[in-house]
Amino acid sequence: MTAAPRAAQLGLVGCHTCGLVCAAGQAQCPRCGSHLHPRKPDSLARSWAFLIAALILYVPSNVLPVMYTSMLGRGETSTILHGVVEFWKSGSWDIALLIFIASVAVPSTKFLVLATLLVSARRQSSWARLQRARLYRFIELIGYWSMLDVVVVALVCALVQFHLLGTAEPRVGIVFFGLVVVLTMFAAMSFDPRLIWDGDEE
Amino acid sequence: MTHPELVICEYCDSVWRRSELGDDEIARCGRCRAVLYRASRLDLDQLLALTVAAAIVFVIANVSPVIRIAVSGMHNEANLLQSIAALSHGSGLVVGLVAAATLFVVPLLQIVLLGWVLVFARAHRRAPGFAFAMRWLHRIRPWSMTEVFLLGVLVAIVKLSGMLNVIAGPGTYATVILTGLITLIAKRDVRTLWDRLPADEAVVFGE
Amino acid sequence: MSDEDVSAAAPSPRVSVSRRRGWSAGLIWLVPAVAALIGIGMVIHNWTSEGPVIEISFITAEGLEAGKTQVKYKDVVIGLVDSIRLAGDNTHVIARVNLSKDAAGFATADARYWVVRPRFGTSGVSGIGTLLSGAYIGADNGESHEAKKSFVGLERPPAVIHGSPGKRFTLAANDIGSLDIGSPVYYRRIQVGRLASYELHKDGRQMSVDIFVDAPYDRFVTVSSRFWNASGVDLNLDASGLKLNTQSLAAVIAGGIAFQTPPGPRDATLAVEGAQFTLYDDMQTAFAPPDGEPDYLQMRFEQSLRGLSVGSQVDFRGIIVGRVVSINLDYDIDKQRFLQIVGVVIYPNRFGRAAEKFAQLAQDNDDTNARLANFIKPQIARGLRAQARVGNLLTGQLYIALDFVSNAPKVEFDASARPVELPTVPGSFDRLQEQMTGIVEKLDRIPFESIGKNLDSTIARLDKTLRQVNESTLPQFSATLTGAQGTLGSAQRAVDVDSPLQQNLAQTLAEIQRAARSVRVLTDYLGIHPESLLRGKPADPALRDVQEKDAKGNKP
Repeated sequence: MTAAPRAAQLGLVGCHTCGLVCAAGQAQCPRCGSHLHPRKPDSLARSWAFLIAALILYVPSNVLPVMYTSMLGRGETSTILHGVVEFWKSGSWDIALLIFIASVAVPSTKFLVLATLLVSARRQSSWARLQRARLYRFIELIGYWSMLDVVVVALVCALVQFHLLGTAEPRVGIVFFGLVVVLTMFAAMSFDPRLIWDGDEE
Repeated sequence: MTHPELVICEYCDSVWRRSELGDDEIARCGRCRAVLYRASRLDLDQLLALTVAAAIVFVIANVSPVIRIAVSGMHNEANLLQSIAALSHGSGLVVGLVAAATLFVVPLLQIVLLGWVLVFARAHRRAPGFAFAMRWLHRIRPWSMTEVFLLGVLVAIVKLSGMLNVIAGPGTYATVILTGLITLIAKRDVRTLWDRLPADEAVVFGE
Repeated sequence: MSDEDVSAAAPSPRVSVSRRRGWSAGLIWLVPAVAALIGIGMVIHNWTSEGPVIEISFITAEGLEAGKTQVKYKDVVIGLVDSIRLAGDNTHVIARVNLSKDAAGFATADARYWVVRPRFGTSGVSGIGTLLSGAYIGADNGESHEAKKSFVGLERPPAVIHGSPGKRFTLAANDIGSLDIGSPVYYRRIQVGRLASYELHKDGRQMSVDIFVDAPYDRFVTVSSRFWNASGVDLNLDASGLKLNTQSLAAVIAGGIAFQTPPGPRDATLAVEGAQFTLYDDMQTAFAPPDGEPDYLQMRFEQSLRGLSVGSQVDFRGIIVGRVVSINLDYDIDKQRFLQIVGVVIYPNRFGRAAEKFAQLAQDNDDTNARLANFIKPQIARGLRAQARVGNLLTGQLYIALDFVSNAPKVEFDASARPVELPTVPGSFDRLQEQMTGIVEKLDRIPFESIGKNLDSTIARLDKTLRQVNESTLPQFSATLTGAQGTLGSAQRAVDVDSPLQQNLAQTLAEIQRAARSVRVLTDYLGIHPESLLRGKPADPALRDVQEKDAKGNKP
């Protein structure tokens, strides 16, 4: 592994919008005009805030029902996990797995990984930097797939509108879930991955 | 002072020198293995063509129904916009807005902004508001979720086919193509456009 | 640090190779071209597969949903509601409907549209399926080829779909009764058709009712068929009692028309489409032979006619020959009494054969009134009178009875009076009433008051007497009684067994006995020895014994 110098050592800053390498000390990127900052401002604090908020909202999103279906007058509400179980029972175990991964595994992974990253970054630990960097890119990649459940609920509720024979309506749980996805994305976007490598210069 | 011959990895802040890439080569950061820049496979012309195609397909994908269902003589169908509207019913307004943003507004902006930029680029000029367009293209990139919609359509089809007669409508196929096109044109990295598009010497920020 | 140092300090990045994919320069434009083609193709396809667009106006959009509600003909979807909007004057709604291409024949002048919803109507329950599947618009096309784009939707399904096999007929009716569009038409209690439409004549005197009889039952409608209103419960409450008649439960609820050819030899030619018939009120009137021209008569009654109403029957010896058409009050100035003038119509045809015979006797007199008067005159002489009789004790309904009354008081019959007037006698009930009135009058004459008063004074006197008795008579009486008691007591003592009186009496009786005995002996002796009277008595041994015994010491 080549030991490349880090930007701070050379007195450089990279513009996060257009990628131009500029000399440190300038406020604006000369090419695109966006603010230059060597590190994302308040990265840890912001990331923690979004993460905790998402964690808090995660509970109602799983406990409260996300969809209400009724057929011939009998109606029932279902949570995300109900949906997974229903798929599993009706034989489509692949879809059940998919929903479970997207709605449960991915957010949980994001919580864990982000928490780990935040803690290790605060402590400026040098433990497994490469793996941590990879983890960060990993959750950046998979983060938005949690919106899958929101899309499914939207489609089902739009389609099943047959009055007596069957209707489906979204319930408040899906709002919380959508917010959880958004907040975790904000949390990941607020975290500055360069913090992982701080202290690697020597 | 700028160093256009250098590139800084955005994930680990390492400084590297830019080097020419052959076709289909990817420059990765030596410290953290993140992608620094890619060899651009598409030239501006191709990019524009694909953007135009994406625009047409976007319209088709949003207007045509994605799923059609039928049960005992009644039928129903929904396209993307109707699905988002259904989500907004009742207490779901917030999540409806989120869905509208990520599934409709953002892809639309991506196509429009990119098209705007590229149209002028063919004439070897920087479009008015180029910086604005580029900045926003970069910002909205993580929020473009058309492929999630595609997967969601698949899951919904499976979910409903147990009880009803379900057919994937033309909107689904259009969404497939749209996903592919948007990935090609906007998902990878729009920042290379900064390098490829001619700079307008008169416009320099910060002075 | 100088730029060159900076540059020098930066190493080259690691390079990795990814898979190769190539698009040649010009071919790339194929992609948007293809996309555009597909898009345009879809648009054109939609455009050409569009059928005519029509607008239907309804009173309400209940059950209709834009984009969802279908238009069906014979259960095949031929169109879809595109949008629904309020009409400009807010009195109705206009639904814009996209018909499918092959349903262009429905955008013609005599096509009809209506909404099929669950309906609970006169012809039964229909459209239940729409509870689950949502309402739809029914369509029916006609013969015309003239294009038409805007329609007025019917508010209920038409009774007859164009092209159904069968025939239409028109009935003339007095009123619609409980019939409605869709009411069933029965033949021998099977439903064979329905009421399609009805209309009031311009002069307001009659209704004309259009019915539709399905094939193959339309061949049962002949020129001699009679139609009657078989609605509901045929309840007949008149002087002859209660009669209940129904066609079917459906007819009870929904009303209906029945038809049949009256029995007997009839003209059996099939009725043609659109033939006219009369709708009678019930089966009896329908089957009755035609009544012919009625004759008008009048009668005067002096008693109350409560229970007689217009339409009450006129009966001749049990046959209903007519009915009451008017009841009016009149005042006779000479006699200073109120009368009721009852007008009746009589149908001579109902007299049957008698009518034919009388027609012969009429000697072709054209004036029906004169004929009637001449015919009645001898009958009146023989006692033909009109009477108001009680038909139903329960309801007190009256009817007019024409009958020959024995020893009816003679009346003057004016044969030239118009209208012809029939003399009347009070009814049997009236006589009963009179008697009762008499009894009541007699009761009335009893001077209950004076009786009462007398009774009153008598009682007062009785009271006084009793008091007297109590005060004076009674104590005296008790004193008398006590005295009497004392007397009786002494009398009792006197006649007591061991009272001296009793003993004396006994002694005396004994002596009398002895004396009587001796007399008897004497007489016996005398009987045997009558000479002893003269000679005296010989010494009797028996006697001597006795005497000796007595002297010796009373040894009997």
